[in-house]
Amino acid sequence: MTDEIEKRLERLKAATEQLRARADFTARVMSRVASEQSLWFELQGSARVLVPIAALAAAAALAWGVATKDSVDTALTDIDDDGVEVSW
Amino acid sequence: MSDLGDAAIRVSEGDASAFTVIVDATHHKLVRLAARMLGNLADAQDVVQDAYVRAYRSLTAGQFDQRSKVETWLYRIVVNATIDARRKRKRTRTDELVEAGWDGAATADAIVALRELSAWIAELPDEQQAALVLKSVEGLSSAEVAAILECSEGAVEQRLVRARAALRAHGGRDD
Repeated sequence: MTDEIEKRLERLKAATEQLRARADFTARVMSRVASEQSLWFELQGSARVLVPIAALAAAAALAWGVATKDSVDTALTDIDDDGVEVSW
Repeated sequence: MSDLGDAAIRVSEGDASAFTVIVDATHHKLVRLAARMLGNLADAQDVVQDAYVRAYRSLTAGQFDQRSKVETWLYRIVVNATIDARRKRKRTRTDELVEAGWDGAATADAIVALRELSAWIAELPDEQQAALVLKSVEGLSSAEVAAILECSEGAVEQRLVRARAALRAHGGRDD
């Protein structure tokens, strides 16, 4: 039975040995690869624009945070100077 | 280093055109392997095309560590993609396993043989089917099959024994 299995595998191997991909197979793959590349470049291009904008936004947020903290500190100091007491 | 190894390095360094060398050198073998596992040449070409795109992404992302040969690595990607495609097909269209069209180069005899092979081994577990096709149909050595399937040579031999036993148990049911 094992011989029969091997013989059948041999026959099917021989019968399918000449199978080939379509003639333009490589071109199709390379076209997919090219579109992958252009997508990657688009993402990189978007990143090039977005990263400086995000950095500016982060810097502005930091500056606003510092300024806000300063004005709050000043306001609290003024309150202390006026000697306001809060009773609970 | 082999031509394919050189080409892989060039691709990983950003030279996409070097990928042509890899595809040209390997696609007939890989399409034939996938066709033998799927029983259909058109589906095999789709699966192998997707596998190449996956391989390209891995190369450009620096994920191919060159521990195995490029060819072995591609075989592994195609075998896994073929197994996935078979599972998907089992879920979606069990009644038309090999009826889709084909447009590669194949004689009518080859198409009939593909269908016979696919139907014969269809009930084997994935890992047994892969081992059987790679060893007994593709003619690879046990060491090569073990490298592709990422298991020991002993595990390959065990899968082959089990696959043959299962086919024997089936007897002439698929004849």
